[in-house]
Amino acid sequence: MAKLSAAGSRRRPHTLTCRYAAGLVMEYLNGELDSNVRMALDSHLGGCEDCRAFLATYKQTMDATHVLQYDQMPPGLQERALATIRAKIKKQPRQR
Amino acid sequence: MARAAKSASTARSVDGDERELVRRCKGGDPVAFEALFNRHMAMVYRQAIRMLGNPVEAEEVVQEVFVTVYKKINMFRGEAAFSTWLYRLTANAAITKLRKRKRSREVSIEDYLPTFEENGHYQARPVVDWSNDLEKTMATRETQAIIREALEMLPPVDKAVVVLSDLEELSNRDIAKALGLTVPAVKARLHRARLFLRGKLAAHFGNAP
Repeated sequence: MAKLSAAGSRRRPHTLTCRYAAGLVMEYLNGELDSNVRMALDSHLGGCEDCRAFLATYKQTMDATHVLQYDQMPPGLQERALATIRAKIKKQPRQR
Repeated sequence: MARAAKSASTARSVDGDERELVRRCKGGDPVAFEALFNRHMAMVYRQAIRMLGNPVEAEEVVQEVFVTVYKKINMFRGEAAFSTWLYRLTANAAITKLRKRKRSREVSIEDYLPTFEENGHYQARPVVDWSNDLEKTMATRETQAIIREALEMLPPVDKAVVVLSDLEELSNRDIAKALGLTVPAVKARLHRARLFLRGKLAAHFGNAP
């Protein structure tokens, strides 16, 4: 059993496998692939349902992460933080 | 066209204004320091809360970052944008806090990465496309909780890479500058972290990574 490593190593695209394709998806989605590699990947995706499913779920994972909601900044934080910072910097010398 | 020219002109004027504030701050002007604080504190808080998920710790990071700005502003040489320096200070402060946390659960990242046969095919076939299910549910509290929990399981630097890339939308180059990594290292960490998040979501939808 082989594990997927990080972003794809630079093998020649004619040997493109699902494992190799999975290592290219980030650069593919960023539009960073050389045209010949991109064409090889497009061709592979055209005939490989597994890789199309992988690409779709990878992209949707990015989109779902992008829309994560976090609590808004608490009211009064700006004034409170500034007051604390003023007090701290009075006691600490600056580096030259 | 006129709009683009105006926008570029505004951006130049903001940059120039910021350089002036930094110059005055280096000279010890407290008004300039507070102007920089007021301009950037919301961005620092947003990055901190995204990395830490805890408002109290995020507020501490805001304080630590701006105390550091005050003390070390003379070490900022202006080769990168002031905001890039702030991203770096914020990431460092948040990473330090994350490293101090006790890990409640040891999770193997490897268990959530896709696996392959020697011939390069996926080991678990067919690969199921659950992207539509995720698209329908990604705004729900439950799905957001799963992604947040998965983010918590990432090593601190990998978490910083995901936050800066997929939430703050920084380029890989700016992330590399902010975290002191090479661009290939940023790409490798980002890809692996996304694979892990994807694997956790795949498990949630009842599928293999």
